[in-house]
Amino acid sequence: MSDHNTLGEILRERGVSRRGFLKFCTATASMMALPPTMTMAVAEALEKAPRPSVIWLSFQECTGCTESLTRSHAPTIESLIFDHVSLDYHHTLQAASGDAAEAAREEAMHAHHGKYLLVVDGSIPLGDPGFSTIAGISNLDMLKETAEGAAAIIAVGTCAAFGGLPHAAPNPTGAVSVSDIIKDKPIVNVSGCPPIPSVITGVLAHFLTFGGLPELDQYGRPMVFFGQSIHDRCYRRPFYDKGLFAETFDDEGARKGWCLYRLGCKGPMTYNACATMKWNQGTSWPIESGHGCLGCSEPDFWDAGGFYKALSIPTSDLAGAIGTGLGVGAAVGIAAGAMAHKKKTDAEHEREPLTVEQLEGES
Amino acid sequence: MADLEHLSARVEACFQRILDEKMVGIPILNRELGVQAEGFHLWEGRPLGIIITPWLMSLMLFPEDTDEWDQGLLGSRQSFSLPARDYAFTLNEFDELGRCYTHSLYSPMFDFTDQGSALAMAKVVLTQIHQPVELSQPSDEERRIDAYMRQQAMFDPEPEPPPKPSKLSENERLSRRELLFGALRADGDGK
Repeated sequence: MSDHNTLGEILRERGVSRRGFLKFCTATASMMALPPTMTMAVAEALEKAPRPSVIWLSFQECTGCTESLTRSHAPTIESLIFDHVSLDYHHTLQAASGDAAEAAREEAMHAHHGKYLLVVDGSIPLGDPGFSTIAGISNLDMLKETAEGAAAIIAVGTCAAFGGLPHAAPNPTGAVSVSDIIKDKPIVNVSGCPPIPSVITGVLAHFLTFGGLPELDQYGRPMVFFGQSIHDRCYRRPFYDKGLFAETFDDEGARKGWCLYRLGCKGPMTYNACATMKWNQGTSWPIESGHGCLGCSEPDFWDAGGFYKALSIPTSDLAGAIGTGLGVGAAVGIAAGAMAHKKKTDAEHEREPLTVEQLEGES
Repeated sequence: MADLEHLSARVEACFQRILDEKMVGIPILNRELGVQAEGFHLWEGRPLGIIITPWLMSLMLFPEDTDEWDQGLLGSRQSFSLPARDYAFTLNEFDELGRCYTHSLYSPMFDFTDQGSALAMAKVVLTQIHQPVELSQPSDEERRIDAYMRQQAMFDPEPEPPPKPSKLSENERLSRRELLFGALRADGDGK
């Protein structure tokens, strides 16, 4: 594939319809909270966008994130976007090995200095550099060196975003997140264990279109996907409302599809797009398959007190910061100001999550 | 009016029963809060209001006589166009109340310290949902992006915001400049 191919050319080669593409652009525009009239401008920008160089670093991780992304159902715009980026370094997926692999990384860093996207999965051990090295280079050194020339960083998965499983007590390697180390680059956290593939695609499409990152929540996650709790979008929600809870995984309530909160579901404390995007081609998602949400997209989810224990507190220790992003005191305080009302309404509007249909431009 | 008051009382009784019978020992309850229905009114012929409980705050929309909501799948979603914006409601059902559509505002309720703060928020929401959002001028950020997409290459690492496309009047430009240079300070020299 030539470096000069634009996304527009590639989409046409692969037979993606103009209509499907425009629908995808509408979703991208809505992600930026742009008016629908700007869809054409988005389409134009996206079609002309050159292939960005992507360097993908994998640190203390299980390769689940890469599994998730490579299992994204083909052929969709999703996979085409991945075809469209120039993945110059990814030590699981690249053909090159040894010195040639590292040379590819260094070449991309120099050739596209200041312009490449850095994707990171896995956490970084600070305890002893020897806990995790690539080609003899510690994760910390490689991250710093590669981040220096990056236009932006996407921290994929809960490990890169928040430390994740390696960071769980007692954190033997002293694992930290990307944003704990890199302070001078735009970072978007796409958390989840693993994250939803379409969310990564959405962030990439956004970068291709606007050269920047979408609106983020207080944890650096894209609002359009992480703006609402699992609980508020859950199809089992009517049962919670009226106090009908499954008590065990094989009781009458479980069979009738009642709320799984008492079985440890972390849906009320978890912000992610699973309930609308779903998984595996929009087939299902954990709660639909009968298991509570583990809260895997939240910081410290592993230490939140047990997957099967009903919790009364948010999984992270940031109670009150979750949800509206607007403290109740503040919100009640603005009751007097009409302008402030409008702002909050706008903010709520922006949080309407996308569905998988919207993003894929199907139907 | 009497009908709405009656409905409001029925909603409260329904959720009070749920609290007493079904919510025993549920750690998600905010014990500072009680059950309270607020602001039930007719919107396009349908009763609409808010229910506050220790485990949720939701908008509730009840059917008018001609609505047939019995066929839909419980938990399915439908959008209703309130003046502020479209709200996605979930088809719900309660023993004493029958079918209705609900839109979750808060759950869990730990953001609220007492009944008064929850009630104040309910009143804010009831005002908000009926306020049309003006299709106002795009924000600075939107105009910046618009200009950016029209005039500059995609991968300029430090995209300098181009001049805004003209919607600001000369006066506004001046006032912004004045603001930046401290013209609004009473003493004119900082501190």
